[in-house]
Amino acid sequence: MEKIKISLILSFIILILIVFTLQTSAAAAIRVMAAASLQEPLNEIKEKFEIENTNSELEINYAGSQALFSQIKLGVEFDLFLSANLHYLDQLKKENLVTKDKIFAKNELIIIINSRNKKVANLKQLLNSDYSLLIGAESVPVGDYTVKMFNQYLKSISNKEKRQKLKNNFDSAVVSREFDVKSVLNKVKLGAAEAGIVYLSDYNQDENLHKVEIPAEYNIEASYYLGLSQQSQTEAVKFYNYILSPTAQEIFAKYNFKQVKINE
Amino acid sequence: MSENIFLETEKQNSSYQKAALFSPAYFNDLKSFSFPAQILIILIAALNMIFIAFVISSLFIESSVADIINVFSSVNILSAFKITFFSLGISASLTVLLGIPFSYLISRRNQYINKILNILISLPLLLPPSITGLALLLSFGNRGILSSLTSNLAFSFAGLVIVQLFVMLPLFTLTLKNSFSSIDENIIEAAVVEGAAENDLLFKVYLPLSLRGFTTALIISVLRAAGEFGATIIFAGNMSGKTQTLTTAIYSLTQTNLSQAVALAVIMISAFLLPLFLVEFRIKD
Repeated sequence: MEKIKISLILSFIILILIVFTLQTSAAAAIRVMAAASLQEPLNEIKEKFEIENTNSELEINYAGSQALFSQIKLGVEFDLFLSANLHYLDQLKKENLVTKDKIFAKNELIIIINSRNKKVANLKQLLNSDYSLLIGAESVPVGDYTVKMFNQYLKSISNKEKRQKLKNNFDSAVVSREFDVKSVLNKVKLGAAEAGIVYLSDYNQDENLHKVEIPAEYNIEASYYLGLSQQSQTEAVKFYNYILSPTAQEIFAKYNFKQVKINE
Repeated sequence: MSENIFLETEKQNSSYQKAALFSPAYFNDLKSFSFPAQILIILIAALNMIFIAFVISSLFIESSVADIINVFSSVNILSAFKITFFSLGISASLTVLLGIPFSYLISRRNQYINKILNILISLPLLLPPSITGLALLLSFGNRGILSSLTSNLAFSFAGLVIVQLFVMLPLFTLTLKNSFSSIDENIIEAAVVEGAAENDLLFKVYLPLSLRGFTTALIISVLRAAGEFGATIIFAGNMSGKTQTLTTAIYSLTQTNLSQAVALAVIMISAFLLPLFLVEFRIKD
């Protein structure tokens, strides 16, 4: 009986050792840290890139840019950082963790409404309805953009009382501040909240969702920045250039990202 | 004479209960193992301890007293404290209210249906928090199957209490049930022979004899709910002053202000240690 126990324990230890050695010997992939809103186009770009470069493998980690930022700061190894705003990339650059900051795509905000609910025509109607609203947390780029957009909208209203009322309506409509844009999207899709503010690129034809556009006069322009880790391998640089290539740019355009002029 | 026997069995029963709850009986006698096995066990135990100590101490090393004091000046964190304690108070009361009769029921009658019940209440305990959150969202959200009964509970304080209740109740019930069913059959029989009714049995025999089990069950289930994160963030959302708990506040802070996150984590660990000490050292059988 004891012998069985000992051999069980020993084999368990051996198993752990094997797992560890396997992990260290695995071929190193290009590790990409990407903003959650880039998920669909980047997955397609990844597929294309891996077909064209059969010997390189991409590992993409999607999350809110602020989460990726803190992971990188805490020492997670990475090759590329695709941030949804300049702020986080800039901070990493100051700490010499990242080189380069290149805009590779642009985006704007839209309102999404769960289709079980009546569609509203604009932001004002949304704020005067009793719909619950999901937005990004202040630290998440989309949340930051949302607040900026809303402030610009308030500025466009001259009546002070009206402005205050809309502001109060906004504050009471927001039920949760999510940590990435896809959580906002999916929770509105599920009907957990009636409305949400996401990027234009996040919306694609869906029977569960209505789209309400936000006029350009107070909409914001969200720019995506691309940074390279200090100790990036040559393969990573290849992917860096690939994202800026026309092939990748076409894919971004397909998913409703606004294109940027790339000149190097 | 008969009183003596009663006391004797009670003593046996409670020592057994202690062993069953926290330490597997075979570890009590290390000497029964052969020498190399003894060394191996001690080695593994030591490694385990060192591992835990290292991981936890990293937080204490990283934090400073100034950070910890700073934490209490943040309005958001203070409201997270308030929300956490308030919601835990409600869900703990509900858990006790619902959990005691339930554990009594499933501990007493060893029937086929109890095994099914057992499986059913074990499930929330083992369910990954992400699945729990999603399931709650699907059942209580606007499109949910329970949405006709209630208003939309997602992202509300009531939603937070539901999440906590969902994880607390099974842990409480199962722990208390174990404690109940380890009570000596003879005592129960004696009580029944003396003419004890069902509620006398529960309140005068079962509960007094498993005070330790009850407190342990309550403390660990409250701690489990206090640490709940995944389901909370999915179902109850993240809204400071409404649904943001200490755990979601820590997550939020790791993304913006790491030193405050670490300080808050240290506070929370310290707060966790106190009840655990209580369970181990203070509660007499």
